[in-house]
Amino acid sequence: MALRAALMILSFVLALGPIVYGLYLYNWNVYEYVTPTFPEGIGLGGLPSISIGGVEAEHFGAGAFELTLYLVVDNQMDTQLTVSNVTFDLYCSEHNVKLGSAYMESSVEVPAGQTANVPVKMVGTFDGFTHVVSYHSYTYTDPVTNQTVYVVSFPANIKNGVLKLSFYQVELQSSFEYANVPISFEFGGE
Amino acid sequence: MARVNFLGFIAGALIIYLVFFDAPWWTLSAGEALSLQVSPFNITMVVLNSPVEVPVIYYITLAAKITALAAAAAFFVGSAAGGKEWSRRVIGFAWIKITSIVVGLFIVLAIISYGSTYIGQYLSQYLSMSASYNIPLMGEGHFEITYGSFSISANVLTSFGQNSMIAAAAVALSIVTRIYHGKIEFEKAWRWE
Repeated sequence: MALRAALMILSFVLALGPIVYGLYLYNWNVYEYVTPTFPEGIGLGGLPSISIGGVEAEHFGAGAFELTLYLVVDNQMDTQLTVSNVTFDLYCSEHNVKLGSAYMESSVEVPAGQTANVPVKMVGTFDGFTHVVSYHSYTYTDPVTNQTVYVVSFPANIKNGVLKLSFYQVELQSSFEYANVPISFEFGGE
Repeated sequence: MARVNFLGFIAGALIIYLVFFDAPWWTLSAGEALSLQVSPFNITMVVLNSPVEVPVIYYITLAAKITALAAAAAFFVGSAAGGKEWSRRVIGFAWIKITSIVVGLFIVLAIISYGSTYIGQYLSQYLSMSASYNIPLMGEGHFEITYGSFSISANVLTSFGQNSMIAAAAVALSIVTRIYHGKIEFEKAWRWE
């Protein structure tokens, strides 16, 4: 009977003794005792920021158009960032007409603390082309080549944007929208 | 004449091996962002290449170490004095301790694995987040947390280490030791020793 009681007490002392002693060392501060402690400097360093860069026209004419929009990705994190996918729809700001959809052709890696231009291909629809030609462009004839040059300028809205980034093999997805993005280019001639 | 329970010595030796040759019993990794290595005697968590420490975890694992060593000592003492009446209680103390430690850890792992569904519900209810988890006890899973327009996701890999198999063997041997010890006592009583 005495042995049974002694073993029972020993069980409690072995199981709870170190835990209670630890709590005593932390001045009975339960919050501090159970709260994880992170070493100095842990974290990502800062979240990446994204802005709209320039626009280049790849093709404009014959009922279709293709643009390349450049996103400027500033990687303020302590690790390399991969921009794995970007998709969005482009709308005319003034008339709210959908002009086309954009996607990334290949992923882009941005080293830690650096900035990169990420090209996104925008393929315009026939209706979009017709709208831009009708409302937001004019033409002139190139005196050298005698070809028609389109001059396009309009503010656009980016809608239904989805951005996929990956770092530390973790994928971060975010939706985004931009209003009144200036789109202007010339296409044709030389 | 004291009978020796040799199985108890083997069980005690296995427990000492588990304590002093500590290696993770179970590991979890979420990409390169999170690594979790778990054994009853040591739990390490590394987030974004930096170790994260929880004070209470250190003292819980210390308690497990001391308890396991006490169980091993009890196995040695109880097994050496197989014929003594008090040895049954000492062996009983030993096998319950090591079984509790191992079973307790597996219950914690089961809560991490199967309880993740409830964690997801809690996050969505109280923190305006939606979360979906699939963390298997062994194999490849996935987790995704959505907050507003952001979502973060990663593949999760889990696996059992070699020491978890040794621990299972130690528990099995502890139970067999207790049964065999009862048989020694029964033989002793039958012979009116």
